[in-house]
Amino acid sequence: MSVVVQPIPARDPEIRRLRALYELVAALTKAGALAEIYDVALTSLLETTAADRAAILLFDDDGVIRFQASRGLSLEYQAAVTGHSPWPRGARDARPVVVNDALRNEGFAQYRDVLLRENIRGLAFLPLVSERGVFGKLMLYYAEPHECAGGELEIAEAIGSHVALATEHKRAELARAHSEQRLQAILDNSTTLIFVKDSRGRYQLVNRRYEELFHITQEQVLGKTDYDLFPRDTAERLLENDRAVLASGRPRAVEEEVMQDDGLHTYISMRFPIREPDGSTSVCGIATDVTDRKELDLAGQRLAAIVESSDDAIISKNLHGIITSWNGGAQRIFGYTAEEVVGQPVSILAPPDRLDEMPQILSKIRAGQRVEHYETRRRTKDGRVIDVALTVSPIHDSEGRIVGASKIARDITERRIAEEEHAVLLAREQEARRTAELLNRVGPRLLAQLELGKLVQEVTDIAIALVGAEFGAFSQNVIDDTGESYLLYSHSGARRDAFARFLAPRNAELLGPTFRGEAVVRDHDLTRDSHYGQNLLPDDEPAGGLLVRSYLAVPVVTRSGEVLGGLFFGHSAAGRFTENHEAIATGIAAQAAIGMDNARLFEQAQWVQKELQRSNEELRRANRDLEVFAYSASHDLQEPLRTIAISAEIIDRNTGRQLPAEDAMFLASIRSGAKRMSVLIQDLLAYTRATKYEEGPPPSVDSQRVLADVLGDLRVALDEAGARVVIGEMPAAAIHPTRLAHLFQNLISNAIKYRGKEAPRVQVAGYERDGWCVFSIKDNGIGIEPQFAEQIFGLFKRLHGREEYPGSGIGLSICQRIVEQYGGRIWLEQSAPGGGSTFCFSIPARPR
Amino acid sequence: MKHTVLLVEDSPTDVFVIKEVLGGCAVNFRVDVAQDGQEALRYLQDSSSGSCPALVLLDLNIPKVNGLEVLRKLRASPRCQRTPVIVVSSSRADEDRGMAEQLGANAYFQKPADLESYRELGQVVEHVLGRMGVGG
Repeated sequence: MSVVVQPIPARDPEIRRLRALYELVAALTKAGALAEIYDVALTSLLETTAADRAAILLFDDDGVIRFQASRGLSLEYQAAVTGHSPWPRGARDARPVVVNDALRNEGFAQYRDVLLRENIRGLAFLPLVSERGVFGKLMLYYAEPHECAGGELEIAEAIGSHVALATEHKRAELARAHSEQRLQAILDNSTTLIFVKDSRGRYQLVNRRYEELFHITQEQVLGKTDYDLFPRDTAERLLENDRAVLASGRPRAVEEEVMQDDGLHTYISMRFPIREPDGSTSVCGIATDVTDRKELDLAGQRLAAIVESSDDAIISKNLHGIITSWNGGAQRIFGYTAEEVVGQPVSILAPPDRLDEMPQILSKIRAGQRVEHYETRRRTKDGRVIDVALTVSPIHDSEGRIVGASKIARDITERRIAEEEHAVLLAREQEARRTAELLNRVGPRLLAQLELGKLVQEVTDIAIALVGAEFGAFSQNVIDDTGESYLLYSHSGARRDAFARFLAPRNAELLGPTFRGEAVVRDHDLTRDSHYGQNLLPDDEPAGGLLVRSYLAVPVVTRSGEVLGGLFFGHSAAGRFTENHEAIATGIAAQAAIGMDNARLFEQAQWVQKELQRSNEELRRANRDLEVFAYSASHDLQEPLRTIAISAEIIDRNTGRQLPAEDAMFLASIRSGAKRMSVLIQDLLAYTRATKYEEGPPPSVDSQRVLADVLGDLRVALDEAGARVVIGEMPAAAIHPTRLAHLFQNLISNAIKYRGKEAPRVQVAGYERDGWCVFSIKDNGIGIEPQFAEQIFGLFKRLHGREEYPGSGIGLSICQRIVEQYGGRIWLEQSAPGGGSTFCFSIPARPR
Repeated sequence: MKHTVLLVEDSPTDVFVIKEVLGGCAVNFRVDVAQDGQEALRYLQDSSSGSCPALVLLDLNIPKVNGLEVLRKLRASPRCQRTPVIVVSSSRADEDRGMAEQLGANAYFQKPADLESYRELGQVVEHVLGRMGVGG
């Protein structure tokens, strides 16, 4: 619509105002924007009124009235009076307000300075009113006080009503355009296909997504049908859905498959009817491509299968802690089915003492944190409390907001039990090791104690301390004359006498297994033990009696199985002795058994040694006695013999020749018999002396020197026999020198005595082997036949007649006794008649 | 002048042989015999018997008081303190010989088992008396 108004010369104010009004209406009609309307309105106001300045103000959304346009006003003024309105927004009965002189008006006192500075005295307020009441105002300003008379106010009102109408209209138009733009923007930016088809299937609207997908512009689509755009069968299928919607008049969701550039796509299409103003019905379709979602669904199904088959409980919950999903693992672990718990607060799984955990976990989830491997306890449907390890992660929606949490719970009850068992085992092993170390420290101390009494006391003391008993005793199993009775060998700790009474025979049932070495007895509380309880309180309780509650008794058994007794421990409090104490007590009992065994062996060994010393002493004394006896006996025997010999000789001298021949022979027998007996007695004495104990251990002796002395003594005999002695190597030997001299003297004398036809030749030599010195005396005499090699050492053994070789036959016996006294040996090495003899004897090379 | 010899000896055979040996000596002896230790001591301490004997031949193994005890008492008594004593014993024991010398015996003669050896006692007697300035 376009109106052309010709300018009319202003002949009078009425005409001028009228013309201005026409011009205003024409200008308002042409105005394309609100600013133009305001501009036109202000021009018109200033032309038609006496005002020298004007303004237009509108209420904003917050109800504050603000300048939209003005003429001749400073910004300072505008700022100062913004928000001032004679009417509230939406007022229905608003009338124009004229202020003749603002400086004299009480109501404008607060603006006085502002008005003075702006040089304003008179004001007129004209409401801008729409269907919804006042929405703004027009302002007229006068430098002088002003009446607004003569139709000035009326024309201003008329301008105000036109401006109000135009402004409302323009604002509505702008809002609609904005709304349409917004809708188009929404449609265009939607990822779904949107279209509208009229009742005859012609496209009325498609969005940008549609254009992109089918490579077609809106212009190309509008007015066409599906037959124009798609293959016939596709078009038929699409139209079929449209017809169903049109027939039913109801929305309908269908799944449609459409071939696109990258293959077949699946759409969920929502169709709904739209009533058109002309009474016809269009069909609007909103189709969402669910191809990806279908794959996601498949992936989701796979995931769901995994979740479902997991042994772990996989639970999701929202931020309020309400369970939203529940897998089979959760059912297995917690016992609830999904139907039972979905929608329930997750707190039903918490045992009462863990209720505060859940808000803490949820607050972490809200903060976007994960809770990993959190070990706690949960309660199952049947009330069992199980150990679980939790991992809780936030669940985000597509916008990244946290909307809930997924929880994976693993039942670690068995693992926890295993861990606890392991810990118990470990603790037990450590304890056992400590116990072993303890016993190892105690052991040597006990084993070092060889005095039985002290040992037993020490065992009791140590055991009491290690076991933590109040009372303790080592008691020996002794049966005395009165029958069975237990001797309290040692005791420690408090109340010794009382504990001794406690271990009285009347408690045989309790003590028996220990004394029989059968078993360790450990009782947490004897008074509650039906076996022993009745007879444990001593008769004199409470007057000095002893109450034993904790009781531990360990038999002390030797390696050979002999029960030595028992270690008994007591405590007046119940439950004091643990398995470890039992182990300690058992260990100490074992050590004690060894120690006591050792101590007893030691005592026995000491007794044996003393006994040996005593018998040695006796033997020594007996030997001395024998020696004295032998000496005096030989002397006493010699004396009468000597008298016989002398007497017989006197008879022989005085009257021998007068005796009959027979008597003379008897007298001679008396004399020779006495002489022979004298020799025997002398030899017997020598033999006795040879066996007597030498004082002190044998020294190391220079055998060569001893031999030299002997040869010196035998000088005369050797010379007479024309004998030659050859001396070989002579090692040192551990023997008393007088003994060695005797051996040399005797054996060399024999060598000379039993000489053959040739001049005697004697070889003496020695060597050392394996700690022994072996001396040999070799002669070239008559020799000894092998069958006599042994018997020549017998006492008074002789191989030859007395006339042939004198002697009692005791010499070699003496030699043998001497050598044997030093642990050595004497023997005839080789001897054949005429081949000479070799006598050997061995003596220790070094003192022992 | 005859010197008196006190022979303390319980064996008749030995008294016989010793008297024979003493009879063979150059010096003339009167031999008084005491058959036990008690008798010997009584003889030696009894002043009625006149002066001390010139020599005592003392057997050790004698009844009542043994020879060594007699010797000890003799040496302890003022009367015959210095009288020469020859112990005539069958004991071969060094202990007896040592003890006799320690108690003041002038000589020790071991009784032999034959007469020939016994004669050596005469030489011992002469030797002891000679040293003591007794002789004639």
